[in-house]
Amino acid sequence: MRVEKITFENYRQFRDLKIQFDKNMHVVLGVMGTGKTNILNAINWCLYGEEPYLSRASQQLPLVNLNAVDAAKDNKEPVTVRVELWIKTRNNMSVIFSRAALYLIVAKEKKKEPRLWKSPEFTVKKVDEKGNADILEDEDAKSEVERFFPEGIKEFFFFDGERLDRYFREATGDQISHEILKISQIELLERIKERLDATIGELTREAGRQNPTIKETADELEQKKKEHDVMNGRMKKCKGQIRIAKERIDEFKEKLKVIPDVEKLAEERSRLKEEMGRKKDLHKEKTKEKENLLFEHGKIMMFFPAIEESLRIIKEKRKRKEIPPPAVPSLLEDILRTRNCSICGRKFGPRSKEEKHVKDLLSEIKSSSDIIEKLLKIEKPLESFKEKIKQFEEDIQKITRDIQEYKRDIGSIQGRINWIDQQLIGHDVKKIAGWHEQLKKFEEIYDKNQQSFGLFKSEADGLNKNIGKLNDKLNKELKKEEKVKDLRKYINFGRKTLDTVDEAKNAIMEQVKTQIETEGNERFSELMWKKRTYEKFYIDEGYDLHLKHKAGYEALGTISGGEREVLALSFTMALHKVSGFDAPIMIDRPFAMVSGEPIEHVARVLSKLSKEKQVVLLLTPDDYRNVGKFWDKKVYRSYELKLTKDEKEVRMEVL
Amino acid sequence: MPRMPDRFCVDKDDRPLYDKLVKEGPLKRKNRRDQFMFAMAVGFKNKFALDLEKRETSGFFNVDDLREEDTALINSMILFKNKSAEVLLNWKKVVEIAEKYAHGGVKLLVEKLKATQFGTYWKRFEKEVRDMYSDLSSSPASRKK
Repeated sequence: MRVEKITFENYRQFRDLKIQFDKNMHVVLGVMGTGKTNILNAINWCLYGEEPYLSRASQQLPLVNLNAVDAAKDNKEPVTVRVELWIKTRNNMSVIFSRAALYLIVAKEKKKEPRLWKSPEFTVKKVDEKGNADILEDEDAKSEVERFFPEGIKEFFFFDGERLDRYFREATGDQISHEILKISQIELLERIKERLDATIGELTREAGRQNPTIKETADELEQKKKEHDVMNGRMKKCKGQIRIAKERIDEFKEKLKVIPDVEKLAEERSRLKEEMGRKKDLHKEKTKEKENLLFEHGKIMMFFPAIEESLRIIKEKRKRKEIPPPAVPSLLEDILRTRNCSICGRKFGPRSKEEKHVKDLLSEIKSSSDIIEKLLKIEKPLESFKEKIKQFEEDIQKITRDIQEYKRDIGSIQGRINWIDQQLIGHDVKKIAGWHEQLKKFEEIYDKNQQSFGLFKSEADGLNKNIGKLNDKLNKELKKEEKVKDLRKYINFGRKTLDTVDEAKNAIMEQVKTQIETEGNERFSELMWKKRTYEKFYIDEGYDLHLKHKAGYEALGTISGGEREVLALSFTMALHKVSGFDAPIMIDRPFAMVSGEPIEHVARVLSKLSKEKQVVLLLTPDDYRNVGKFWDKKVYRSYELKLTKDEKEVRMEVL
Repeated sequence: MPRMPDRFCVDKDDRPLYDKLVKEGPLKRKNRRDQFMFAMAVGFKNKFALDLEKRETSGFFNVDDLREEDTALINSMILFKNKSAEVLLNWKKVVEIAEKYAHGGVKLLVEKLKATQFGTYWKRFEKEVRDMYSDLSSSPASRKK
């Protein structure tokens, strides 16, 4: 199946536009605001009646093209908004999906306003080779859409480049399980299950009307089932949160892997700065101590000859017994006072020869005593100076050693600080601290949800047991009650059938899952440029997707944008092949999340893909400049969307 | 009765020299007494005693601030110069000689400071002290001991 053309009539920027798809690969260029994403919105509106990719700006604008609004006469002519999607099937049947809405333009306060006059009508026209046409409406038309573009997996036909990148971050096992269910086309089995469940419920209630005990048990059973469903819902939510948190944790860890632990380094730096301050203070103190030592010792050494000489003089005097003095002056003073010599006992008179002699002697001794006193006073300090000098060598060496040690420590600390500064150069410390915070936050979310999941699971298991017991109780009560013998038979039959249907559904889904894995991995290894990095992707029992690195670890959270894109495309191709859906792939801004070397690889992958499937790419001119060189101009067609001068309309040019 | 004179004086022109030595050199954080004693030591070592031309009678520091060890050094210096102990009884003479050596010493210190680069004064002084110590250790008197 291939899309032949899309026509737009008064749909948003596209007043009158037709895009023809005559090759397998088409590139539609347009700067921001020219409506590339609205092409996707238009297709979605046409097929499903919704516009999932509307920008905020577009949300403020009416569906109707503004020029069509201006041109319309008040209240007189309705304006039709229409989008048609023309496809051609393998057996050459044309199918035209068409949605149209009618608007009346009403004047309001000098402005014209479109008002929906008739709800959008959706039709599907099928024209065979012979020209026989068949027009489908309502449920039939919707079924036809489901045949070609099942709504449940529309994201695998019409991609938003950013969403493509986010898909594997946010997709939960339940989402993938739902998608596989859709592809397996076993809705019928689901409906059978639902119907059986409902029937069993009705029969049980009927039995309950016959016997109140049965009713009580049945009611209790129903209640427990509801509680179980609630618990399941909570578990699903937790699982989703866990997955997202894990992805984010891996993302931040990857970011931080190549970055030094900034927080830790900053802490260390701060600590080192403090220590350095302390060492510098100690160094300063020791230096002062040394200067003091040199000052004091230097002074003493400068006086040393005088010290030595003085001590020599004192020693001499001591040798000559001049120290201590031979006579004590007080004795002579007594003699003079009493005029009586206490040594020889002679008395003498005033102004006598003896008195003069004693006075002279006293004067001599006094003077000598003063000198001796002075000498004795200086003797001890001078001796201690000499001793102090002897210690000089040892003291100076010790202090010098201490100073050198502090200097070494300071040098070593400074070296470490410099190294830390080097590590931190170019890193936005605040930003990295933010990453650490985010990482911590997601780790907390992860743990919290793991805990909650555990609790919910435990409760769910408990409820399951209860449900089992209630089922047994109900069975026993049904067996006992004769009046409900027949009802019991039907109920049992219904349950057995339900089990069989469930088994069949699970078996089919398991098979489809395996096929997707096989097909997907084939594609992945074909499309992926890194041939030696990844082993495979797989879907686990809970339908969560995993990507295994050759080294054995989970790599989904750490792959680049380009790799993720290739994985998504491989998965999509697998879904398409297994499902048999042949729809084209349309991607809005496929390089939105890809940068660097992978751009070339992704570009070549898309070109390769277009050989087996119709591919439509919506790009900005900048995107095209980066990738156009990797494509053979002969195999694709490109268009450019351009805004008119009044910016109310977009026209298209073929490039 | 207090000793006369009761203070040690410096030459008027020496004040700014002491201030410079306190600011930039070896007399940082030293009080007036220690500044004077050091200058005196330098003057004595270099046998450079100069008469004070403009003696400031207000005094540089008081005699009472002298410690026992300072008095011992001053007296030993006087003894060495005069070879006789009697001069120790002439306090006025003692002060006069001390002031002369300090006057000569402070000038030598300032010259030394000018001759060294900033921050290297202590390195040079350390070498001088080590050399002095080395001389003292190797002198016959010390060997005799």
